[in-house]
Amino acid sequence: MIKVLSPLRHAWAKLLAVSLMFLLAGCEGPPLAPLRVASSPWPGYEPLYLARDLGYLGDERVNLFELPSADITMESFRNRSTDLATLTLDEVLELMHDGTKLRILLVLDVSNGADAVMARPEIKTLADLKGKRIAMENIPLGSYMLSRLLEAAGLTRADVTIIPMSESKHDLFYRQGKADAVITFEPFKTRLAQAGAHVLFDSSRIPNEIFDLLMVHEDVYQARRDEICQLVGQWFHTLDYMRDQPADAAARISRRLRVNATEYHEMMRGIHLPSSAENVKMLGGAEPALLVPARKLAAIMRQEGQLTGPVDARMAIDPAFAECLVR
Amino acid sequence: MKLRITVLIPAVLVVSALVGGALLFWQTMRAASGTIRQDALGQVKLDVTRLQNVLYNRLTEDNLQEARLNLSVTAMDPKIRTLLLADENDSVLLANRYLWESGPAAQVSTYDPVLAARVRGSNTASVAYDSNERNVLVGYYPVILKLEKGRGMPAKRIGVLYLEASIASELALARHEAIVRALVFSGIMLAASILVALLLHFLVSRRLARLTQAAQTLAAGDLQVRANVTGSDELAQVGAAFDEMVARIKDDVRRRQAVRQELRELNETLEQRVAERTALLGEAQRIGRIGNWSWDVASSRLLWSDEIYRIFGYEPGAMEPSYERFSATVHPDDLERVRRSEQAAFSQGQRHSIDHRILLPDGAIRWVHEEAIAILDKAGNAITLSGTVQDITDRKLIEENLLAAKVEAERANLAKSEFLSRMSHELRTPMNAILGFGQLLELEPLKADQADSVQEIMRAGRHLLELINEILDLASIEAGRLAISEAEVPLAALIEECLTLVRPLAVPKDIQLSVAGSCTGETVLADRTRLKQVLLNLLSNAVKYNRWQGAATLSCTRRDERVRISISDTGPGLTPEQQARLFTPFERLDTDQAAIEGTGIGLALSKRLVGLMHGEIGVDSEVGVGSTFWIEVPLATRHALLPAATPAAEVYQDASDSPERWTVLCIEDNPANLRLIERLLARRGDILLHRAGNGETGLEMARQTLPALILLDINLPEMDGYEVLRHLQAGEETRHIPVVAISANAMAKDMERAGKVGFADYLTKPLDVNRFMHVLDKLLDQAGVEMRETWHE
Repeated sequence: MIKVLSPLRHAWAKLLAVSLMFLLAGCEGPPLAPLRVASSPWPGYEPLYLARDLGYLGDERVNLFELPSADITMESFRNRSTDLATLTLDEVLELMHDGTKLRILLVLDVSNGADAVMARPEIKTLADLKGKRIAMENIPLGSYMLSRLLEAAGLTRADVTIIPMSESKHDLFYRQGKADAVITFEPFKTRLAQAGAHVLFDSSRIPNEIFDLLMVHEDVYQARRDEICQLVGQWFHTLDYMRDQPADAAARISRRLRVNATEYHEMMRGIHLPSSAENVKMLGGAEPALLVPARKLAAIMRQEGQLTGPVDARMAIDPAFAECLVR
Repeated sequence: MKLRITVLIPAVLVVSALVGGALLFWQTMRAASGTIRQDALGQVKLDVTRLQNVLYNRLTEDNLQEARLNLSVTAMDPKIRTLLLADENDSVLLANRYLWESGPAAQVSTYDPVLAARVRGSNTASVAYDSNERNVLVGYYPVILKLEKGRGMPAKRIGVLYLEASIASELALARHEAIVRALVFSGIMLAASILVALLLHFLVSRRLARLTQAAQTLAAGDLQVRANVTGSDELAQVGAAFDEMVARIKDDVRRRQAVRQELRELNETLEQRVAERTALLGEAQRIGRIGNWSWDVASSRLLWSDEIYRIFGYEPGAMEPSYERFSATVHPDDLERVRRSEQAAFSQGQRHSIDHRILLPDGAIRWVHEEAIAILDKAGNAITLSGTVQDITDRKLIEENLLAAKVEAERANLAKSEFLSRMSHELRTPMNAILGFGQLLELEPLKADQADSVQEIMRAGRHLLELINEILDLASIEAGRLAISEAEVPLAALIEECLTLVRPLAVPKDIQLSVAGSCTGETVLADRTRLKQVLLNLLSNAVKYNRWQGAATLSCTRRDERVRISISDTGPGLTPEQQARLFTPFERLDTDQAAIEGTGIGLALSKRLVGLMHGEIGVDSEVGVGSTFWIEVPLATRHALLPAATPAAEVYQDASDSPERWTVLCIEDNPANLRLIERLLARRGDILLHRAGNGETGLEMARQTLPALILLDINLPEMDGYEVLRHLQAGEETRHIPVVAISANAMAKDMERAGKVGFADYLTKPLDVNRFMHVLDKLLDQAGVEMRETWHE
């Protein structure tokens, strides 16, 4: 029989090859929709937009949603309107507490002054805040900043009137005189400053406590790890660009954030963009460094009643992903 | 490439799978594309329409921040690439990308200010797929703006919500699904094809290959092969049928081999037999000096057996046989004869049987006998001529010797006969004179003692004549020249005749002669003269060898178809030894009876004569009592021959006393004979006798005298009697003259010859006077009648 078939072997082989090609095409899985990344205005997130602007991300692979505020971002992540999101550590903890399965991919920045409490010029000290209206974003970070502020001011919640609102409206609220102080962050901080407000308290006073992270849903992480790894790589690529082409980077970022050069530099001073090595240290290894502030934050949040149970950030960290952080 | 079922069917299935997959893909894609276009359009339109309303509300509230939020959230639809709100001057108020805000809308993607103006003018949304990018939905929605700043006039400002949505990824997804579906379908079909191919391979092809291989093995001659196709389907049946066929072929072959073996053995036996037979045949041919040949007419191919070569003086197979070679071998003198015989055999289908000589290469001449037959076809044309050649030289030599011996013997016999004939003539001539003149003397008146002397002379003469006649008869019998003329002979007359003749002999010894039994009335088949001769011999013996006053008795007894004539005597009898020698010629039993006249050949002659007449002769004798001699002759039956002639023995009556009327010419050289005839004729008185001593004179006288009768001696010097007769017959005037031959040649042959040539009668010497006178009377009477007739005329 083999002998009989031998003249056909070639034809059979060809047919088999073609079939296999189709089969492989089918096995590749469906053409993946671009990774959806939701983000809100914040200097620490700007390298993402810069990366898009520079063409590092590729329109086909990453779809960057520019949402007006962090609460919308968090909400969109929670309801899975997006795959990835730029969120603060406290938001991450809250999401974890609520049962959202997620992964921390990257520490985008560490706030070092970019988060601030802006107050009307007549409020000079922290103590002056007593009895005043404080607008704040209704996100854990806002609560955290408030608690740190009140702690620093020696006041309690009852001492102030809290007006929760989306940070995108802080500026408007302040200008309308509906708030005396605003717990906000860049770039709204600069805009408030432009509106005459001054910094009463900022994150430089509480260093290494406010982290901005890039998150991903657990299932997306499992399914699209390579793309995610590539995206993370592009982040550091963009950081390199900012270092190598600071002027162009500044110009691009300023335009988007609608700030001038001075304001840009001021803004950037308020944040620290960790290098890949720092990221590895914070997220890799047997004992990721991020766990320390995360535990501390979680403790505070429990005290504040923002978390009702223990949340272990370790669950969100995959030390193996550190290989994607290495440059 | 040959189309094989096992390839064709799977190939068709594969092609079907591929085509089906492609069709499925195409159909799925078409359906999905339509659905996506409709659904995506519908959903986006819905979202954007909602946004349009929300924006209207937010903007009328001057709540740009909320409007932004709403727009951003709406833009989270992955299909939406661009979503922006432009004011009446086509300047971007809000966009899903902050970067575009406050800039001119025209710089964004495919935003068309003309179309935007038209939408604003008509206050009607325009949503359609882009003409360039078919998968991109482009929409312009009018939005009433009411800006917080409120600068300028409060007049209604109308902006445009611009939308760009791509369904490319949906389509890609749909395509992928279509591909997957098509692949799954094709895959299942391919799997089915492979399954079918495998099934065909294992259920059909492999078993077919097995069958094919088995058939090829079978074709190569291996009968042990079996297809051994398993299963119970059609192929298995074919396989089983094949195996059965092979089994049958095997059986058949085995049977055939057995038959062949048998045949081979038979052949060997046959060859051996053929070899044996061939050897035998060759041996037979060599021993018998007989070879055979075969000539095929159509091919002219001639085959010689080895012996033919040897007979022809060659080594077997020395050369190619040919008719020319054969012809050259035949003795030239015999060639024509051989050709004629062959021709006859060839054309008339006769047997070719011939003796002829052959000339051998060494010059020797040998005799061969050829026998050949032609095998003819239906039309009578010869197909094959085959025959034998036998060397008969030795036989020929013997035959030649035999022939020579025979010729010699015949010559000797002839010489003897001539001697006897001459002797009898020489003896008869003087006897003629003695007896003739003795008879004349008896007629004379003589003294008593003279008469006794004459009587004695006559007796001795007669005895001598009898002796001579008997010797002559015996010689004739031995020469086979004695003619027997059988006829019905009444015994009574014959016996009486014999007794009359013998009675005078019995008188001197006073012997009583008698006849006993019934001899009268019996008629036998015999030669009358010879039977009489035998009876006379026996009767005279019975008288001669009898005692004084003895008795001789003749009796007849019928024995079956024969009659026994017995003659008893009262003689001394014969011993058995004597009886044994009795019928031998020239044996005389008793030397002491020398006184009794006897030739010693009487009984021997009788025995021969009786034998010639189909009879028997014998003797019963007792010494001292007597002897009985007997003969047995056949009875005449109804279909017997002519009645015997009337006895001619009449005593001549001298009745003629007429005057001399006739002229008779006697041509005779012997004077004694001539004188005797003169004296006999003188007794008639009416005859004038002319005498001639030789033929010539006789002829002269015959012409001159024209006699009524001529008496012609045959044994004339110079011109013999036959010649004289010829001359007489040649002559006109002498032709009618009757001529009577007178000769000492008493042989029947001579008489026959004489009758043939035209003699009126034939008389032997010594002349019987009675017979002579009788013939003379008869012929002269005839002549007289003729003469009278002539005269009357």
